[in-house]
Amino acid sequence: MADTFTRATKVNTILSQIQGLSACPEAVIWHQKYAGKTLGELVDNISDPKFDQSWAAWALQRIGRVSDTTITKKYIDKITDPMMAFSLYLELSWLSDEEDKLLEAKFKGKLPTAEAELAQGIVKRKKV
Amino acid sequence: MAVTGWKTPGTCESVDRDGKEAWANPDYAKTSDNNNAVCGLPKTDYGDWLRLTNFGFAVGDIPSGSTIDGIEVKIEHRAGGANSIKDSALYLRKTSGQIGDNKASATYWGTSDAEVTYGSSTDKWNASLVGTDIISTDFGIDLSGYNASTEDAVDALIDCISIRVYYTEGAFIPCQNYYPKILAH
Repeated sequence: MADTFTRATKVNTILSQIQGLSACPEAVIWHQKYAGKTLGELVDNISDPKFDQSWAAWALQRIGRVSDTTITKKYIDKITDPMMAFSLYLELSWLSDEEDKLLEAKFKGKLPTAEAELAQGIVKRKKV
Repeated sequence: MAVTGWKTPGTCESVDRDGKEAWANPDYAKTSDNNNAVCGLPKTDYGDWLRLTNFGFAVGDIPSGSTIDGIEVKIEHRAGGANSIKDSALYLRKTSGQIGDNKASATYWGTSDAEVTYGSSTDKWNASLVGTDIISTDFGIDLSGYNASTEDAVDALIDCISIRVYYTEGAFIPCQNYYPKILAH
């Protein structure tokens, strides 16, 4: 994986990498509209209903670690499904405390069984 | 406290959830026979609702005036790949729609058939249910799966779902208590 992705990163430089990471064809087509633009311009437009929240979850898992927090927070904003947010909270070991709080707000109090499993150690976070 | 027998759904259907993947063969969730309702879940995505209703509870199962103490739901499921499929959402439903807590577990489904039980003899799911809600043919479950894999689409497979209800019968009121009111008319 390349250098850190920032708002100034050209979308062209990540398109081939995203394809190499097995992004779904619909997502690649959507991203191609931003060829020649910056990643900042792209994430400013992911409120587009055609940009599915599952793509944001995928992006966080595949390129989140090497992305600037201004990028990752935009992807986190897109997540609305509580279990999707909870799963990311478990999986992403690199989240900042601020990013943790953003994800927590999306599931806290909405998943009593899953939250109890976390409290009891039945499921565990990768972040230590 | 008394408990009903385990009841299985009379009606199984795939219902749209945000235009996601539908369930194939939803009727296979009616019986435990290793035939499965299947939802092919894309990576990092959830699927449509598997809606199960018409569990066949009757007044003979839950007498009039009973208080509902708890609900248990047993789901026999498996995943098409390891460390990929988990619940996305699991709700009880009645005539008005989904009710109470989202009981989704964050534990991955195994790759061989296993029964998982949700709720307990004292767990009311925050659903404020009364006996007539449960006797209704609209009472049931909505379930949606989630695929956490970033690599592959994976199947969520449901063999059978069943429900039982814990209840306490209402206090017996002797008939003579009513006689004065009847005579007054």
